[in-house]
Amino acid sequence: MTAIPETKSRIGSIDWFRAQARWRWYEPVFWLGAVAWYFLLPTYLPLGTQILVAALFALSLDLILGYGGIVSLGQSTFFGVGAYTAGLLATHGWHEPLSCLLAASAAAALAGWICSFVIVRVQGIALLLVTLGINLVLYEAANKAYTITGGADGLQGIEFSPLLGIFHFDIYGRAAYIYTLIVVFLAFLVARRIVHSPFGLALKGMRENWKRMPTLGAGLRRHGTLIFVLSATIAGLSGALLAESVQFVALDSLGVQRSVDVLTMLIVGGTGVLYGSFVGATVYMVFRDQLSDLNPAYWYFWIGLMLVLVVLFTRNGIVGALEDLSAWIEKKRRGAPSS
Amino acid sequence: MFPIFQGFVQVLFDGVAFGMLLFVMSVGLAITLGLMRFANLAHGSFAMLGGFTTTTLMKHAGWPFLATLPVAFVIVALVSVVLERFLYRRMYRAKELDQVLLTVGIIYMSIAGAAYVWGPEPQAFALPDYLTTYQQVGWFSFSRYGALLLAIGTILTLAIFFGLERTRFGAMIRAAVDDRRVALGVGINVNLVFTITFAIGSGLAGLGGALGINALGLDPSFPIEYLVFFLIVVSIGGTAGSVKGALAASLLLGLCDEAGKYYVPQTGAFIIYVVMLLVMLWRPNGLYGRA
Amino acid sequence: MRKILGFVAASALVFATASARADEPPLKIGVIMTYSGPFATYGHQADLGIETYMKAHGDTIAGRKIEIIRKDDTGLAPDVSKRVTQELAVRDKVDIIFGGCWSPNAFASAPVVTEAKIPFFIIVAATDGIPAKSPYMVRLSSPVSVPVYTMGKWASEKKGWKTGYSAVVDYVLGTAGAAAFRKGMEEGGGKVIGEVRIPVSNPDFTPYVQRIKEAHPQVTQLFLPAGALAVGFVKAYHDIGLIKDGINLVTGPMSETQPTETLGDFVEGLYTGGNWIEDNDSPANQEFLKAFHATQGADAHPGFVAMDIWDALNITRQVVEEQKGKSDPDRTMALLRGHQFVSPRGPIAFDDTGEIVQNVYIRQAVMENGKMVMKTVETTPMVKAPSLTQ
Repeated sequence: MTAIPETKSRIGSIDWFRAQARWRWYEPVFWLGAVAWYFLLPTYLPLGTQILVAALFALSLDLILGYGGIVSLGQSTFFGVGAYTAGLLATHGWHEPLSCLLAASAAAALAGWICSFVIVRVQGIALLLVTLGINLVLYEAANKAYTITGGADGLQGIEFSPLLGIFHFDIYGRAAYIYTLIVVFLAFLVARRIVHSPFGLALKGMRENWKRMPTLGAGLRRHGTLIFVLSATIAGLSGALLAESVQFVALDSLGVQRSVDVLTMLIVGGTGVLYGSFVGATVYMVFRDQLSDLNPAYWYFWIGLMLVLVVLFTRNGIVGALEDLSAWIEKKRRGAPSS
Repeated sequence: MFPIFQGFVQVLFDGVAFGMLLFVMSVGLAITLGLMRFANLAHGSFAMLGGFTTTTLMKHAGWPFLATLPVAFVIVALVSVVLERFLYRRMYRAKELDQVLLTVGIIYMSIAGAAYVWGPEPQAFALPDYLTTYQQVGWFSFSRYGALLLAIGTILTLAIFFGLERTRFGAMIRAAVDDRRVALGVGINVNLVFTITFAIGSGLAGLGGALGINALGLDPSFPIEYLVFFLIVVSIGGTAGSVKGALAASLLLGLCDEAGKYYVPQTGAFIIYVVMLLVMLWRPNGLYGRA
Repeated sequence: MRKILGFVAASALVFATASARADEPPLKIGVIMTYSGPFATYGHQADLGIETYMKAHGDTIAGRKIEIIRKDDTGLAPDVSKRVTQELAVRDKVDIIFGGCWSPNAFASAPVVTEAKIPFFIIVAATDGIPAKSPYMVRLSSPVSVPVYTMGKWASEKKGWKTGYSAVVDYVLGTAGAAAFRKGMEEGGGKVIGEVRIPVSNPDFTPYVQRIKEAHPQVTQLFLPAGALAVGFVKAYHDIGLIKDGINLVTGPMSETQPTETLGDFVEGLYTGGNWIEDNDSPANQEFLKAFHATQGADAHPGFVAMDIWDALNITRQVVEEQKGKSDPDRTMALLRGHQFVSPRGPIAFDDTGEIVQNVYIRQAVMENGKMVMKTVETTPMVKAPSLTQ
């Protein structure tokens, strides 16, 4: 991370923030690639949609984990809240997709706010377990309340009217893909803005040294709550997106397996680097999809091995490894004496 | 009036027996956490291995159930030594999250491995006849299997406490837990202590896994299915890894589980999770934890 | 020279037309099952079923080569399930799909096969009402309600057990099971006096059987997923002496991989109701078993998944042959609804929602000459799924 330039005026620090927020070369490449996917891989759109949803979900986790240092094993709590909210609205007669997205995100934000009271008071292993515990309790509650949620059978009868009255969700998944891409991009912009702001910097401080932050004047609890609620909102948004494109919601949206999967994706991709979530989600889902066709039974072995290798040998997942690689190349290029 | 009392005693007996089973399975995890500050979520994989050792010996070599138990202990202990030496040891200084992820990766691989070797179906298993019957003592009838759990659990608990408090090795463990650097300074071979302790803890998990097949079933997804139980025991008992805490937590959980199922069967698994949340909120470091 | 060229040309022409005739488009069958994770046994069983069928009937249907395209639904995951169904429809352009490993997965796939017009055979899912979600769906597995309802009615009507107790698994399927049992009991003149819900990840059954002992009904309905859970309950039931006390126990099929009578002495007296007696001596069943043992060994036991796949392939063969090698979706569905088929389990048919109509066999585990055997006590023919308005 670049050091804050020494300067006597305020303008220096603003420049620094601007420099951090500048668009890197790979960013437009990535997003153009996502658009190109639509044209180049027309029969892979449902996969593309689900990768985007997973990436957004992983991004929500990155906000608290990579940037805030809050380790959560229960992120699917909010994903599920978003998914079921959107689904329940649809089964009760409200079919407009955009407003359902907003309502679902709001519901997830509320859930995040409620949970934050507990979350910001614990750390370490206890935090891990509390997040897991909340996830499990909510899962059981949804299972029991099957008259509302459909329980293990899932929520049936979800139908969304065509987007903007014209684009209906077809079996090629065309409308779903474009819709998801636009929403994910917008949400990403929001996250990006936040991460590169003074608030984002305070978060990093919080992550690096929890104890010292109050002496610098940053209110820990407030920051923690804020980022947690934001993370929950985005998680809920991704859940609602899935509910709308699949038009079915089941308990797996709330399941611990999903929480563990998203954590895996993020770690494999790299935390605290925004694009780690996208890289991780793509690698995980494509890998799983391809392996499913070849030899699905041993998927668990390979993803387990990947996790072990990533943890043992990379500093920060794939993006971290790429960063290290490019730094190493840069050093060589600068003419360090042959080492 | 009397049937209520009878039911209560039944719940007490079953709760403590189940708690003992949980303790045997989880104490290794607590010790590892306290001693090496290492969150070994793959603890369930060790328990699973112990279970498969037993079923394999019983099915293919015709061994009687009780005879397989020590073997389960030994085999899992040996396997754990290999894992500790070559994999875990690198991770003692790592962040908690990395430890969690490493062990999750190991869980996944163990599930795939077990499915490959023993197949994905639940294992067929039958206790020997003399353990399946119910014993009548006056008005109280209890299962022999439950009695076995109680007996083995009690013996092990006493052995562990005696070992920790009264033996030289136990003193070395306690020293290494309290202050690793000083322990090293006094000449204790901390690495060896770690390895042996880890082996014992994992061996106990294997023993627990074998003992528990009758109650918990056995199939390749065991490590994930019961991960939550272990975590709960450790979180309630004390994230600093206190053995007393693990015992208290196991008994508490066993009793709550049985009582919940008996008196309020609609709530089922709920109760355990809610108890865990409440304890974590009241004492974030567990009942016997220290910050 | 010209003669040789002519000869070569003529031969080439003959070969060309010959291979063109053999070039019927393959019959593409998509198979969506759980192939990874804790429930990979389902996918494994499905593969066994496919292998068994091909052993007996080869790999072509009406001159078309069978092409199986497997897709992993990864478990209970309607999003993945819907996606792979879409892929099978638009990318692989399959003619038929066998799937529906979980109810949510089947529900999610329904709109896709409706829009793409692909006949879909449900192989595992048991929630009532799934086939009605698409005009292109039929079910080969048994809906929850059927054996349970039949047993409830038989218990109160034929056996005169008027008070019943339900021990069901604690999720939505269990509720359906309890409701079906109650409907059957009430239609036979009895009633259900109590109910316990057992969580899926429950390790210990003692408190539950204790409650049943206290309630003292004449018959208990057990409804738990097949496997370790059900076995554990029956053990506890027996150990606490309920069977001795005359509280009869009825349940669905006990275990997928192990026949009930081999589970142990504790099953004595238990009544099971199901749609298939594994070793029945009908010619269709013997043919199935022979092919199964030929590929898996004489000791192997086929599960219902393998049998459902066998049926799916056989039925596919019959309807495609009837269409002289074509597999038009609407014609296929009309043929499915219009015929009765022969399955290893007995005769089967599909009602107008696509739901299966089949026999229900009620058997009891009895000791005979020192061995445990299952004796058939009642065969209820061609039971239609009862409508359960809740």
